[in-house]
Amino acid sequence: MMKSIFLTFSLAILTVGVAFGQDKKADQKEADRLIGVWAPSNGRALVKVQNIAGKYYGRIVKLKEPIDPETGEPKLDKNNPDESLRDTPLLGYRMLKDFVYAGDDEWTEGTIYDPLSGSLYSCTIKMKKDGSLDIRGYIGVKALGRTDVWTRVK
Amino acid sequence: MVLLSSCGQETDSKYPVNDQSFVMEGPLFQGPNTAQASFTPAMNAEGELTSATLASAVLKAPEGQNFDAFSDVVLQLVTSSSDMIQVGVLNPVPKGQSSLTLQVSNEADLSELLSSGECVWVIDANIPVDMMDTTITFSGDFMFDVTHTK
Repeated sequence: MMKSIFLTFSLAILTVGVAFGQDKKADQKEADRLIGVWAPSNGRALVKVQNIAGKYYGRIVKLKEPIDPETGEPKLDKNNPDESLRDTPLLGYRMLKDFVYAGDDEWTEGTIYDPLSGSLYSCTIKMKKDGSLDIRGYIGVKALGRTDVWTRVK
Repeated sequence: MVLLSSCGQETDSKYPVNDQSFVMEGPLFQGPNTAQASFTPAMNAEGELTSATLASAVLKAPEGQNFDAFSDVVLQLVTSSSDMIQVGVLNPVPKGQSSLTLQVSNEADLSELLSSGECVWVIDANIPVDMMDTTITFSGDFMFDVTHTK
């Protein structure tokens, strides 16, 4: 009798463990849908998203106009509030940072950087049914932000 | 009424993180490429870490090699529980150098990152041409200015 109870209990734990492992894998697969190359609606850049240390980061991998007309040199992050970092090139810049998958096709807790103004915004990313992304940047209250639609390139 | 106050005693010190090993595995495509290395801070100073900034960051190529493959380098630090912070840059990378001293941020406070376990250096380097059969390795020596409060 004891043996049978023990066996049933062990099987139950194993089943829960396997199911949990599968859920975790499925979650990871869902979360990794953000990985890829994306085009913001203004067509000025392409942004590649990758996973680093469990979070998602997007960096500029292509600029439509990579050269600064004022200097004739590659564009720099000249509006960065930290003056010591203004030599950072925009090509390669990580403009999306620190996103975690919250489930329900949404990545949260991240930030988006606008190199044109040097401003950093809180940001959420929502993947729509057609596979495009609603990128919503805001300061403080999410309802008062602005949304841009990004489409997958690769 | 009795007012109680306490004065925290601050201790400034240097915290080195040396011989961090970076690998940028090929094929490497034109544009930004990434290398990572991690360390777990273990400071001897007593008290709470109340301030930390990166004082220096030096990248070293293996003997007989240099950093001519890079046009620029950006250095960032992140942990699984803290946001990624850019802490250094070198643009352009001077030609023929086997050692690069990065310009480091004097504003970025890294105390939260250094208090949260394993830290990951993330180095982004722009490469001007495709390098299909190349893997680039280099090492990094870093120094933090830290303040502990007892």
